[in-house]
Amino acid sequence: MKKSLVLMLTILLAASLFAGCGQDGGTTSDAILYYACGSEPYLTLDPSVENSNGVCVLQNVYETLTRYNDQTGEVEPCLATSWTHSDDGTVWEFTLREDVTFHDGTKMNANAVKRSIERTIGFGKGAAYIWANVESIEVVSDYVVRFTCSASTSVDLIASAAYAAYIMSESACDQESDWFNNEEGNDGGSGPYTVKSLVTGDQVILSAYDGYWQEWKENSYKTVVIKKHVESGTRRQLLETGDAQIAYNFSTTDIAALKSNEKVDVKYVNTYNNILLFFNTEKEPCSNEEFRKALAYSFPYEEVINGVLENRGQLSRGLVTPGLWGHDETCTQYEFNMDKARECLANSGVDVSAVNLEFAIQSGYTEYKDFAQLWQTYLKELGINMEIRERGWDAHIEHARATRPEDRQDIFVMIWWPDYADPSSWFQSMVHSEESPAFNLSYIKNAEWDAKIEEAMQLTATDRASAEALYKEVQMGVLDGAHMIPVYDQVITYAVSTEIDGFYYNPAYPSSTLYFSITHK
Amino acid sequence: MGKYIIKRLLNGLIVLLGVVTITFFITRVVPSDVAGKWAGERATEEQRQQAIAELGLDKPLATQYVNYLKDLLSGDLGRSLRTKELITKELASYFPATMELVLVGFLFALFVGIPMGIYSAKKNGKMLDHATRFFSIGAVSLPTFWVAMVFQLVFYRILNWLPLGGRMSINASLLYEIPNVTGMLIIDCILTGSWELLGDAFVHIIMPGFTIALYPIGLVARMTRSALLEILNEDYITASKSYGIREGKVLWRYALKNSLGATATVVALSMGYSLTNTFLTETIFSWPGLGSYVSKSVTTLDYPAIMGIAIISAIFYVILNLIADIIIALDPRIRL
Repeated sequence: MKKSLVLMLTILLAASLFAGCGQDGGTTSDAILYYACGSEPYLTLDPSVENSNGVCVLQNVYETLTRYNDQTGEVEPCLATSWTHSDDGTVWEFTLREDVTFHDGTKMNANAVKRSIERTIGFGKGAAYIWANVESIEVVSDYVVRFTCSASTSVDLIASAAYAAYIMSESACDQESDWFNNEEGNDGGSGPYTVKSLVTGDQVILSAYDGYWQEWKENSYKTVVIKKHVESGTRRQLLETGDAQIAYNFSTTDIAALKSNEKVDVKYVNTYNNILLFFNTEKEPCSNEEFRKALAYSFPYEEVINGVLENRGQLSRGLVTPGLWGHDETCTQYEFNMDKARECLANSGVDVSAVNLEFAIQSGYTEYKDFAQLWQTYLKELGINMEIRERGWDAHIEHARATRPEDRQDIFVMIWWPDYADPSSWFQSMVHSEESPAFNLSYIKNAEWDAKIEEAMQLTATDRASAEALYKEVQMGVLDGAHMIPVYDQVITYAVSTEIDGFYYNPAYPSSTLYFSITHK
Repeated sequence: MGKYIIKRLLNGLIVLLGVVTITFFITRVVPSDVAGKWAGERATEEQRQQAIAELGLDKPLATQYVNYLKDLLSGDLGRSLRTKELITKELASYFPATMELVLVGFLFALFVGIPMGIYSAKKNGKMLDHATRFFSIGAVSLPTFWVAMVFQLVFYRILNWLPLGGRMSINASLLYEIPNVTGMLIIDCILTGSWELLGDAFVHIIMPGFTIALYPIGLVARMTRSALLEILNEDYITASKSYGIREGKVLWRYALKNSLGATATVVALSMGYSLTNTFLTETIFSWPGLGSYVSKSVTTLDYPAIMGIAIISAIFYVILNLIADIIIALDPRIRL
């Protein structure tokens, strides 16, 4: 009797605790924008150092001198209102807005800009290397700052970067990284939101900055929560119940379920990421151009996009992804054509019975493995044997950088994205010859292309049209010779609640969106 | 007894030194682009060299090892290559969350597992025994991730009784000051008297806590049952019964006490195991604990973090082992 009484009381107590929950959201007067992300919202919130997902926070807390508009392909003013450069593209002067204050109340001025960028360069971490050409930064007047570079450099593009280009208050410049990662929430930005609090590696809460220089809309979100939910199914449930408004990256079953949900809008958005195959041009049999072409024609591009990726990819046109200047729809692209593959193979004169290719892929990426296996079956039809070797990233890249070309793989796969809105990233890293390979993993050595790439980089600041023409020539050469093949351009999925307006994904700012422009209906 | 404890402690220290040495050299042997992680994959050669010097990687391995030990003694585990944050700070943030989850899980395990084992032993061979054994086998063999997802589906999506995940609701984290004394939210709420938040935190820990508890519940129930059955067949139990002592008293007082030694060892060790293996539960319930930190550190070969995790879990194992040893040593039948 006594025992059953205790049991009853326990159950009652437990039930009374449950009664209070399940009513999150909607009860407070201010609506909250909840972004459920699939991995840690940031690695570090130090704007000089972060080179990962943290952009989803930093883009909303800090601002850059300029911003890249992916619709027009132009650099637009942000903290800088206008800029000029010397004829040779080595000296740049930016004129700054005069009505911007940082979250600590101090004015944004030339001194803050100089100190912010110098701090980033001095730390030498994250993406600080994008400023490698900058020799000095001078304060010309309170609101004019001058960059002097060792060579012609498009500082306007660099200043629009998603990483390593943030401007912070002078007091924040004095802080060590740990200060930015304090769970109490510290920041030195001028953006629409301030960091209210953090849970390390898990959650960030942002709240509106009243002194922001742009005007707040009435139904903007004043509080934004960014929280990690690793499971795709968890993110889906949060959207379905209306607890979350934005989430990203889902399993195929979850996408299908969300698509049929009226309260959720599934968006397929373009990125500047592409997946590239690199042939080892310094090793038999991939040193043979016709053989490489046979491989290129045997790859099932469309089947991979439709079947393996379920449309989370699109056919590539050249090395540069669409939406970025330098992209050219007229670039050659190999198609899946087994007849042509057989023809090229016959022309190559390679004895396929002796061939055993090693296709090196990075482990942990099921899509790579899936398309590798699919390709394997088509290669078998050609009589070519291909072995798939999975390695963790470190071992994967080290193997590709082995001293002797014979020790390296035959085919390598890697994802690439530009550091900022400049196609030079693909060419300088992956096509320009290197003494010991870092990312030029087709091991291309072509003096003519080197010269063109260098010239294009020189011209970017002063004559973009000519630079684009040069990049096109190099792309055509690389593709015609099948040195490396872009397999597909990555498309990612966002699911957005129909309660909100103004969601936009700019591929120049990966994994982030501007919460300031989002409103609730 | 004192001598015994000191001996076990010294043993523990040797184990720790062994763990530090082995993990140190293993993590250094695995090919890893350390400078690339520190200065960025696409950093210039100059920045890479700067990173190597900064991390002390230009020194011989033996010197690096000695330096690491020196830093370790002063409580410095270095910085994560991935987040550039102090390892001690990261562990201090993730460890209490996991610890809290594991503790709550084990409270569930003890309060459900032991009575279950006892009743099962008492009703040996009857329906209840079969039912309990069926449950405990199920609890041990059902995959955690599946159970966790079914819980979420039932209690969040369908019934909407419990929150989907996290340690506290968003509203609570906006409204209340979050106490931070031990880092274990429930304990901190009690210490600081934040009762509203306590309710919120408690509701959030039910599902993940029970998921964690499932495996040890089965284990504890089965261990208790078999140890108890063995003891119930002993002569002294028959004797006690024949004296007319109430059956409940015989079972709970005389028999159970003697069977707890084995259970304590199992509980202590499976707790150590749970601490580093909460990954799936934490992932599914978005619990900000060690789980995903461990997996991220291992997959990215963030060796200072791997070392830190290895050391902290080794310390934890050593302590738990020591506790189990002491509990067993309290048994007068065991001669030290």
